[in-house]
Amino acid sequence: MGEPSSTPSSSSAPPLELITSLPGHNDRAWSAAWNPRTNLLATCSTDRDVRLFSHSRSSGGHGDTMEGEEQVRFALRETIPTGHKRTVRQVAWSPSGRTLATASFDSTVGIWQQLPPSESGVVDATGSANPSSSSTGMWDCIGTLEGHESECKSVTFNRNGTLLASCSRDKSVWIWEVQPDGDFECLSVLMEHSQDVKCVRWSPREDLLASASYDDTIRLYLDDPSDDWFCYTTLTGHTSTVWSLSFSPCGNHLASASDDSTVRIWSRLDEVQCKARGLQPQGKVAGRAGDRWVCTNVLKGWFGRTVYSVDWAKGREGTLGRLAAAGGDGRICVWEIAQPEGEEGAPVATLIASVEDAHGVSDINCVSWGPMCKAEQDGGEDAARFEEIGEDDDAEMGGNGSDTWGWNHLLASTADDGSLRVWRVPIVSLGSA
Amino acid sequence: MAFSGALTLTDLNDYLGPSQACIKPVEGKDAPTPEPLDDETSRLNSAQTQIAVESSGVYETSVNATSANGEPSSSSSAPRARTKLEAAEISLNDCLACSGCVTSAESVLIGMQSLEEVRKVVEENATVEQAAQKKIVVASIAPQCLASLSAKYSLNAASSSDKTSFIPLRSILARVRFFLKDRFGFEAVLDTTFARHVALREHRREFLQRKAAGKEKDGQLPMLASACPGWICYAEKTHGELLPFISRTKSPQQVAGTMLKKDALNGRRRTTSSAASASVYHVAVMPCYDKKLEASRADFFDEVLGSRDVDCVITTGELDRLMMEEGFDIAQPVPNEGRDAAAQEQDDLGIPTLLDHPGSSSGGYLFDLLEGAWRDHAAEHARSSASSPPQLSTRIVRTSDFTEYTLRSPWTNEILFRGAHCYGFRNLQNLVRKVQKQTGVRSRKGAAAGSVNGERVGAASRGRGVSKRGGGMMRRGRGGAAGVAATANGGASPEEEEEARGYDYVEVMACPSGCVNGGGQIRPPTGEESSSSSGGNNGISMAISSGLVESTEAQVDAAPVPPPPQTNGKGKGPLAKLDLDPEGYSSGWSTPRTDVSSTGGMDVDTQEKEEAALKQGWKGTSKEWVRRVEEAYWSAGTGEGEIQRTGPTTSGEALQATLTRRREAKALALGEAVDSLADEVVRDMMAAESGNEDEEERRCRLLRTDYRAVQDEAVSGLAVQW
Repeated sequence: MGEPSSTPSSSSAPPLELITSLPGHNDRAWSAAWNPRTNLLATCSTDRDVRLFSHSRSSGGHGDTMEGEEQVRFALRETIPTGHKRTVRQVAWSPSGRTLATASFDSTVGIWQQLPPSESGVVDATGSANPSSSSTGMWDCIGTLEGHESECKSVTFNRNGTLLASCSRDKSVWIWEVQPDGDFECLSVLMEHSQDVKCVRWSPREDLLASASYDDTIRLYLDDPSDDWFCYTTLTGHTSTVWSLSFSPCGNHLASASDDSTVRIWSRLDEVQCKARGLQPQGKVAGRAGDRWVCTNVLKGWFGRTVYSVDWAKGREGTLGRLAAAGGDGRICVWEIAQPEGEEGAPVATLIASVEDAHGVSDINCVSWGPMCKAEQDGGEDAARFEEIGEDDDAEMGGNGSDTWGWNHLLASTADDGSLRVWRVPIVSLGSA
Repeated sequence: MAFSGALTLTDLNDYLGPSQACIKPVEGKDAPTPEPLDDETSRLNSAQTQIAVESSGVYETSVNATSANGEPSSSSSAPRARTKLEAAEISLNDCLACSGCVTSAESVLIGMQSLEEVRKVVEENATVEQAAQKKIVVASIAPQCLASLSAKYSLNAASSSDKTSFIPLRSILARVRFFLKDRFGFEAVLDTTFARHVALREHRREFLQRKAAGKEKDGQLPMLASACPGWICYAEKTHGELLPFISRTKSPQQVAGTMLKKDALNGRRRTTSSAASASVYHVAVMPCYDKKLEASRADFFDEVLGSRDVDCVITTGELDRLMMEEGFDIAQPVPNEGRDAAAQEQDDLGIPTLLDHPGSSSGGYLFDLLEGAWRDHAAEHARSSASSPPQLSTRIVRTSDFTEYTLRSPWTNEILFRGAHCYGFRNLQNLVRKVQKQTGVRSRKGAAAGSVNGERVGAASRGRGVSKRGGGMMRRGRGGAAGVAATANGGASPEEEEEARGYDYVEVMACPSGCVNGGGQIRPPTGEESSSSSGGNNGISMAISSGLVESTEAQVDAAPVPPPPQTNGKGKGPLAKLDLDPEGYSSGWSTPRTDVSSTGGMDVDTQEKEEAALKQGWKGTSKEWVRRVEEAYWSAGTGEGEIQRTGPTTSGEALQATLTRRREAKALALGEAVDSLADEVVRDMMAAESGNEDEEERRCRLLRTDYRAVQDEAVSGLAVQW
């Protein structure tokens, strides 16, 4: 293969620091998702529950403190018995943080919102009292999305929360429009893959959807304003199932994790770059210049088994951010991804932290970076800020929280052992230069 | 795959082997008592059951009793109980209803209803010496098929100088008739519009019955169309809760089948030389692969005659291939084609042909009911309404494939009728949600969750959640209450009022653009083909000449060589991505199986451009092709005295104009003549029916059918977990 590849050299990266280990699910824990607006972390499991953890810094955890001394506490806030008939495979928050979506093997997607305190009081009275529920409202299912024929594998909101995508073993990818009153309308059913679709992810910069499948391919979809959603390109290269996808924060790169034990990085060539290489841009629709996606790096040799999850978050200034991946061999790797200056070179991955057997002998199913605080969230459509929910009351510690260091040096992982672990990228790896 | 979108999604070809996924044996009388089990428990149980094949070929199970918690009970040391399993019989219907192994079922399907089968029957018939034992071979052809043929062959004839002129459907029908009679000895060839007329009348009867009954009980309206087998199959499999709303009236294909088999038409004219007792072999030409499935439904098998009402369904594409294989050029006129118009109005059996059913190219079901409501209102207000007919408005929901029609009283503004046509799988999903909302029915997935959870220990504490809400994105209390409040304020907008009123009727079709875009229609011709149209030996025809290639996705996928380039796009934009399936059909919701970019990785667009330049055939997109077929469908015939065919009507004004035009004396007279003939035929059929049921029952037996929900829980239980 002609792609440039990165293989481990003598890796001297420092280990990830374990902050907390939270058992709880009675069966394998599948996915973890950090609420982008409040200090909640959701996990889901084969036991059909969703668990919500709140997290907080001990006092003094401000930006001027040494991060190494930072104390972050996690506490189980609520256990939601979802009522899904089978495994809850993935959880996803809307960008507003107000809606949670659950993808279940019972073929449906659940839509959850927090009830106002008064209403959840009513629910409590009807006998489903939950000891962890406080005076803030409980999370309740406001509806389900049906249509998939078999196990729903993944669900995700777009960057502004107006669209929701889901995928399934039935080989289809569905796109729903989120309507103002919390209703949903099906916009498209895309039957492009020839097998089970494992993962859907939206670009953080535009309404570009990516899906990954058991058929070893990745497909990218766009909306033609004059027509329908369509698949405009297929990325081939992985030699086995593609399990997980994550766009870079800038939207110009895409990471994919596969059963072939590699992580691939795909980069977008814009119209000019395409011309320079004599390529015809693809995906030209009204209001969008075409582009091409090419594989620019193959991270191989890092994992001994299937890579199940990959997540890409913002990192140091001047870099493309931090990429985390983990899978069947229990190892978590964190790379800093950078693009060589002044050239159109391939992104370079430098391992900055890792940990072996992160969940003992268990397979790791998901890695997920914590959210950024307001200062780091550029391009935010509204003035929403990161609001913290107090431990025992309604009081928001917004004044405290909004200016603190974000949570995006924290990495959550979930595994077959049913536990959630949260890791911190060591200070030496974060770099300050 | 050429089945409609709905069917494609339902009939999954997955990586489960057919033998594993087949649930049919479980449904036999040895079936275990169905009890809801946790995933875990069922897995444990299945591990304790062994199936062995004895030397005689009989399957036996031996079961280790397990208690509910999955641990072997005390009796586990006892000899294993062995049970001889009932031999499983799997019919085509079972296979089609199941998601396990449809790919193989498709091969069976194609084998049972194919050109080869037609040829075989015709050949065998030719060798029969005794006239009494000869079968009467007849064909019925859907008007959408004629439109597809016209769209293709007018392209050559007009040689692009006049793109809008089409070979009239009447001529196409005459030529197909000539071909089938001349080459294959068919006794009669008719189009299905008369059968459709009978179906429409029964359809309207049923609607009125439901409307009357709806005053007393729920579950009557909205009535949903029943002509599309893809939709029926999808509803039976995944939305059993909607089945009560689907019209019971048979589709035109099956009405034609009943009429021909019941000898009603022959009985009227007795033009055929054969004795009335001779059996009829009925070939239907349809725009749709799913129609093959419809013909094989158990309900359409006549026990007395021992045959299906429609013996064999072939698609437009297959008929086209047959003509090409026989070297018949349908672009050329045939003898007597230009017979006087009056003669053309009637076909071989003395029934009128190519009747005009305005409103949609999928049968005009919605329009017929709309017109009924319009006329009823006019009749009620006979004196005053002449000057002010009911007001019709239309609203397009996102695309014209989902259009709502509201008929209001000119005086009170009261809604008289509210309907919609809804084509394509995506719209079907939104329709399902709307109907669930309107009627309060819930799908099995949502509703069943409640009962299953209810039986589990600890369910009480699991009160919250998906199961409690039921399916279909039903709004919970808050939203609902708000909505009611808004309406109660009296300031409800017309839209809110319409939304609240719900639909009376929906014309549902699984294919985008409806039946003109059916899976069995002729694909846009490529350059090679159009330059040697009667040869038929070009690459694509070769590729599809094997039924298997045509039918099994897996084989196409596994083909080492990519199929011949079939892109018909101009190489730009998304429409070019509407790749074609092995038969060249572009399913409207785009299922490109061989994305060129995925196979080669070369410069796709350049490649496409070159191909387009080489091509002399259809240069537009697949969608434009469908539009062309639609145009051909509505293109006026040239026969004198024929009333003007009515075009597709999407705007309220056009519909209103059509409604008014059809009130003109000439149109009314023609309509009445056809109506009374239709009634006469139905009466004849009913008279010929034996049995002592009352008239209505007899009528229903002839013209209506039933649906059943297909349980696929067992398949889900076997499903692989990730």
